[in-house]
Amino acid sequence: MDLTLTQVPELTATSLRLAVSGSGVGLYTAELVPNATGAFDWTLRSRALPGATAISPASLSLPQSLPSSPSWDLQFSGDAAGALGLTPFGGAWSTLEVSTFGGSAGGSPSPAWAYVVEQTERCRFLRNSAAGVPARTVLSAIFSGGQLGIIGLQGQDGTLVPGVSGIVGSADAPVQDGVVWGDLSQGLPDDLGVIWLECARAGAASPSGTLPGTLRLASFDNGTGTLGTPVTLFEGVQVSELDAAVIDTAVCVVASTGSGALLVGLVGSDGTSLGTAHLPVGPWSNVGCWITSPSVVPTPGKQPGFTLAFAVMEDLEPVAVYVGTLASPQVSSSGS
Amino acid sequence: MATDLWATILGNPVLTLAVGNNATDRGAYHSVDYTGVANTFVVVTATVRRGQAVTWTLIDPGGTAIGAADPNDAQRYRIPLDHLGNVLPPGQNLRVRAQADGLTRTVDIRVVPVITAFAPVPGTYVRPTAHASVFYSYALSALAVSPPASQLDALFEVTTAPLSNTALAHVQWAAVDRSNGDLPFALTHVDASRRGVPLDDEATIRVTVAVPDSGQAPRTLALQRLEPGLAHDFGQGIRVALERFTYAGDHFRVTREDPGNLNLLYSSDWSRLDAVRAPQGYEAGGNLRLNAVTVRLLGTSTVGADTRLRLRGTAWFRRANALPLEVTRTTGAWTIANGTGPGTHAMGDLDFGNLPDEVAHYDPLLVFWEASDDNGATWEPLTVSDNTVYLTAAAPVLTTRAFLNDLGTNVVYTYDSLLAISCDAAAGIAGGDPGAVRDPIARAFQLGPNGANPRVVRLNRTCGAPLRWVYWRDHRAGTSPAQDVNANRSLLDGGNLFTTRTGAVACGVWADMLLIMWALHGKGDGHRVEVVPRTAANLATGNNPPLPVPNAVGGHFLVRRWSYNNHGQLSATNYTHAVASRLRSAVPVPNGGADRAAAQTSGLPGQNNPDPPPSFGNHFIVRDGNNNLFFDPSYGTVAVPRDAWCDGAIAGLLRPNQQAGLQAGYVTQAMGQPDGILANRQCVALRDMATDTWVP
Repeated sequence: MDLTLTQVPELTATSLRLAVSGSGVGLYTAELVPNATGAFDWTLRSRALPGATAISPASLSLPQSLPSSPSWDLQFSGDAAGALGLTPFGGAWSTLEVSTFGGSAGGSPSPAWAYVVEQTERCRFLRNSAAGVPARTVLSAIFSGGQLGIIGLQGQDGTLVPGVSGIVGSADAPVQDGVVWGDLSQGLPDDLGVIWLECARAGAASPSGTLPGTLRLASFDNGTGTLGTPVTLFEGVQVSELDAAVIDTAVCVVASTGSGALLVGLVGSDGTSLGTAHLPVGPWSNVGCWITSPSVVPTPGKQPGFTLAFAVMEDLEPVAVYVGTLASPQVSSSGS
Repeated sequence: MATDLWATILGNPVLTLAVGNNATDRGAYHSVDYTGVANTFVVVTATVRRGQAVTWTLIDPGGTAIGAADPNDAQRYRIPLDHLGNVLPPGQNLRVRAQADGLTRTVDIRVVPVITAFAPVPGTYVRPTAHASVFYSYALSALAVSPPASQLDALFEVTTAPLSNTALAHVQWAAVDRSNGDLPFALTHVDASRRGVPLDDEATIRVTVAVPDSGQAPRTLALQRLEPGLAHDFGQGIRVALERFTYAGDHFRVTREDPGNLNLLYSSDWSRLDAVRAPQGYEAGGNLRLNAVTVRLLGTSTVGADTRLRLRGTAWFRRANALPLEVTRTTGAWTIANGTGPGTHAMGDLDFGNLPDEVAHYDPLLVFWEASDDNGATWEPLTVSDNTVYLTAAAPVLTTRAFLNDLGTNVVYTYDSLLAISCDAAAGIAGGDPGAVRDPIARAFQLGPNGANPRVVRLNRTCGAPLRWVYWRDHRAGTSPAQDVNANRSLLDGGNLFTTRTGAVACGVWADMLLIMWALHGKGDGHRVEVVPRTAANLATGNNPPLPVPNAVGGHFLVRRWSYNNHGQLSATNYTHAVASRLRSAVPVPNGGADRAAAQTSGLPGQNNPDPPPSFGNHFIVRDGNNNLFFDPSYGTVAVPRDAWCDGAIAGLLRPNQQAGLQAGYVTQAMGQPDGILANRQCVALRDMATDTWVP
């Protein structure tokens, strides 16, 4: 693997996402700020990557009634247009709201649909293992505090309503986070791949305050609701946060370990190792520092590879944001 | 009969009085000790001319005394020394007046009580030493006890004959600090018979009691307040320490809360090398055993003959409205032969019997350990163990919420802080009936002025200073609250109940805290209930959902109190008034002009927060099983029916409106209610999450 990492000048964040927009990669950071009405403005801001200009839209803002930063993800469907998923907190639990932006919606997110009847966290658009824009908007999320599932609109009684399919996890064996992928070029296929984080329920917390756990990978037949036999990724490495991106059958995992270190690993979609997992050392490894909000996307273009980013914290203060690229001979592009 | 012959011959009137020689002439009066024995008297004898009759009068300021002329000798007056009423308050005397031969004489008598006993009060952390008048305890301030050592007294009690407050008032107490040049020491005044020595500092206090004017000598006891040590040296190489023991019996282990050991269990063991004293859990009335009591010999014995070593422990079980129960148990003997070298030896198990059958929080349970090298003839202080012990109403059980249950123990997580809060709240409640603790525990969430609740504190036993939990602390500044008791949530998202740095906590955590506390005491049938605006979208789950209220869409419900102007425009079935902001106003919205509503600064306070958010999209409360009784720990509401909860908590619905901003409504005018409004009770829906059913 050929990994390069660069600090984004003068940028700090606690929550960020990379997104592919056309032929470019954009970086968005989120912040929640009190406003004069007693509510809060939750705003995504597009940030310029080193040597590039920030992608559009420059910002996306949604009001929040309560001061709790939602989990979120965004997915572009065209130039400066796409969908935004987030999980605003209602005081007791978080719901899922999906908005669209750009195009006819203009610069402000326009509510598209919502799933309000169940605790929903860590929403993430399904990763497309094929090139191009997914043909259908489907998200993965953690439901009811422990089950990784996917959610999208589906027909019921002549209308489109949110439909949830559970994949793995329960209240007795909760899943902390997960990434789901498939070839979304024709819609939602039956054959999906899943990586999820099974955390310990007791022990020593990571610097972020969470109990770290183990990453597992399996296939999932969405037609029958059958989960394949899981394999453990990065045996012996405890993980507290993750993201993953897929190019064809190559899955790039970027994670924060139980000690707050950066983990970059490449595996096949069946879990086979495509080289040793990296624990790159840098300023983010300084004493007291830990990384959060790992994000990774396929790098658009002819040279297959991935773009990754993460935020660096010192105790609870954000101190830096890094971006990087990962090129690997094991990654073969299906044509991007 | 006493006759003055010379006066008789001379014909001179005469009257003299003499007091029996069991009394002591104190100058202005005579004193005599109370005997309590029937037919014992102090006798006043009158001497007169022959043939003169004596008239006796007993003058008693209190009217309780008795006395009478000797039936066999009218010139003798007898005051019984077994009559309680003859002991007058200190400084007062009985006056005996005799009249004869035209003369009057008086004599003052003071019957003083006698001290019959002077000893430590059982249950007050005092143990005997080899010296009969010397006792010991510990400087408990070194052990971080609660209540503080300065409020824990070793008590000494004096008993008098007669035994009455009047008699006890004759006793004069004095104390000196033997460790500080015999300077006077201030005893704690408990009651007429008891004085206390606070168990704070390391010192020897000598306490003396005496009755002035008594024939008794003062009595003296000494209390050594020892530094909690770990070993005792008997000499000849026999230096021993208590090594370890294990809490057992009807015992459960306590769940750790510190980030380095979250959800792990504290050890059941006490060890002399422990950095932290592990808290322990028991059922009220359950059996307490201290097993595998192990002693360590720190030297090599050089005794000529075998030494039979025994240990004994004295446990102090605190009780509501009573002094601690003192229970002592002794191990078998370990015969130490000459040349026995350093090492440990298991002394066996100690069964302390059943703990008091009431909810309690021993903070800590003190056990004084003593060692004997003469097979139990004499004992020497060894050390004191000081583990926090919780007594719950019944054994912990599972809750209806899987996330709150420990898969390893198959009962609810036995969190240290939640045991402390619940056991304090229900202290004294009899064990065996989990239902009996329902309301006492819920009342731990009741609020004082401005929402203050000092009870809801995370102990941080091993990880810093205690932290008070606050409902939505600093929410206006953007502080994210903990949303779960123990979910894996990043500190950047507020953490959870045990990791939050700010102490900010949202409603679901408060609800789960109550569910956990109930389950800790055997009541596992608490249900978590969600509250949502009664909209079609919110009702798309659960069994038998009710119909939505007309026109309700998305948005929030309002939490009292909110002021609406123009009450003529109110509607129970629609949004009617515009909301300028979610900031609270100190004054009601004036009538006239546009229809407007505003949150009031006099709104419902939450836990330790007079200004929680004025509206929510959803909320968690608690239901007692399937009963129509609800608890809202976020606001301290205890056991109210659904409608009463709605009336007290809800001030309407709120919706965002793209054109008109926020709009409020679904209330009607109701004079006598806060702000003159009452929300439509059906504008919110309650779903019982344990049964997945909507509450009618």
